[in-house]
Amino acid sequence: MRPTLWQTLDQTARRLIPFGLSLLLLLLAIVPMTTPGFLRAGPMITLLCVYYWAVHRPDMMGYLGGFSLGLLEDILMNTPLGVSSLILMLTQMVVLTQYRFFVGRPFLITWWALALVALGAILLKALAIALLSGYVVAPGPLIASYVLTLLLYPILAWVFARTQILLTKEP
Amino acid sequence: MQPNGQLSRFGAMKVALHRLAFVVLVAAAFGLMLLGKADTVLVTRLSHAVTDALAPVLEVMSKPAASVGAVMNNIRELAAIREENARLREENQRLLRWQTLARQLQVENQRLRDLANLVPDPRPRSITGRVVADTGGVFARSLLVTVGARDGARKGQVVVAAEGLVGRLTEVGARSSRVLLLTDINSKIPVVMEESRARAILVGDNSNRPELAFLKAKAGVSPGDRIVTSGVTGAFPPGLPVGVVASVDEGHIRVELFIEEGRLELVRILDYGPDGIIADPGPGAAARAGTD
Repeated sequence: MRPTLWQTLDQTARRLIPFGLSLLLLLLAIVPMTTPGFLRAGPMITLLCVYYWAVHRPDMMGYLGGFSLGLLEDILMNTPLGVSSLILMLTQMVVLTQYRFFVGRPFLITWWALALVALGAILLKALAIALLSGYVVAPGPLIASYVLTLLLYPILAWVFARTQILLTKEP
Repeated sequence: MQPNGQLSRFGAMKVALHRLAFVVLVAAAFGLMLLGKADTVLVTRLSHAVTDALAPVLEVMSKPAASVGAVMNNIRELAAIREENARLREENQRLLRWQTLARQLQVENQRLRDLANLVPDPRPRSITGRVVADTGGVFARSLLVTVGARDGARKGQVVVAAEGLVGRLTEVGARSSRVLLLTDINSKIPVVMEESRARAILVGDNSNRPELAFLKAKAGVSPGDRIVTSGVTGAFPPGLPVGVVASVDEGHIRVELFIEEGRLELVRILDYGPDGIIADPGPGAAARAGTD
């Protein structure tokens, strides 16, 4: 049975929501004044977004989504273009190739796995920026950013889980 | 059997497409890195287009955020209003004494300037912009402001807030610009110790306190010393307040800035006209060189 036009539109809109929500979170994180001082440590918001959807609904955010989100992040944050895109897509790739490990696992396991993925991601990002711009980021701020990223995950995961329930509801 | 076979073929095609997308996009990411490194017009245009498009969105988002922040501040201030009042009264008295002194000095300064036929420093026009994004982070530190080329902003212009120097414009789009903060790892500005007049370079390293480098006489520096811009290279006007020395240890001097980077709402962009800070060498050039 071929889907009607309305169904196609509905599907497309649903597929855009995870990306739209991630973009909104990225913008919220850089709007001045909303963020208490500690957020200036720079948590990797986009990594959390991409990770959540890759683990729970990989069909909802593909590589193109990860690429675009990374590109926007690099432009907004003034980091070398392409670096965040690469890191986000590698994160998606790692999760997707280990899909059997992730499927149906409790939250604590995915959080623990995130600790590993995020560690790899932040180190790779620091390395890529060091190679491209020739400066090495001090370890202190890197650790702060890493810890903050991990601490933010339960909150973001809750928001995304709510969204996921809404998205899977039949119209 | 037939539909099943079709399905699996469809599935295999989907997987292949998915892999192809990954390879193509990773190649694109590497391509972007190379393009960005070459600093092409294309990349600049792309980032200007994105920041110009997102600046109005960020502006709308920042307004409720600012009001929430203001309410929180009000509550915090109400709690300590009594002590604050007493402190302000005392400070007011002290400032009044300073004001008297400043008036006397202003008159005296004016007379001396007249005597020496000093050419006054160029007075800038300023453009005020709202800060719509504070991308302070681990890898880079900058602000996005809602002032662009159509408002007269140009690359390299100096950005200040009420408390002191903020940074300078590094990218100027049509409607938005990027301010490179003093704490960014790419920021290096010539400064001078206000008391001793010793020159140095303030070098950012993405931490909250930039470092004072290339200072010859380190011995005399102690926490609390004020630092202002030196204007040596002509990129910054001399005498803009920057910060105070926060700590001195083993040759590393850290500076606490006057501005609070996370709390800036409005900034002023100083416009010295098309000639910049260093005006055409005219009749007054010799006199100016003598006073620098």
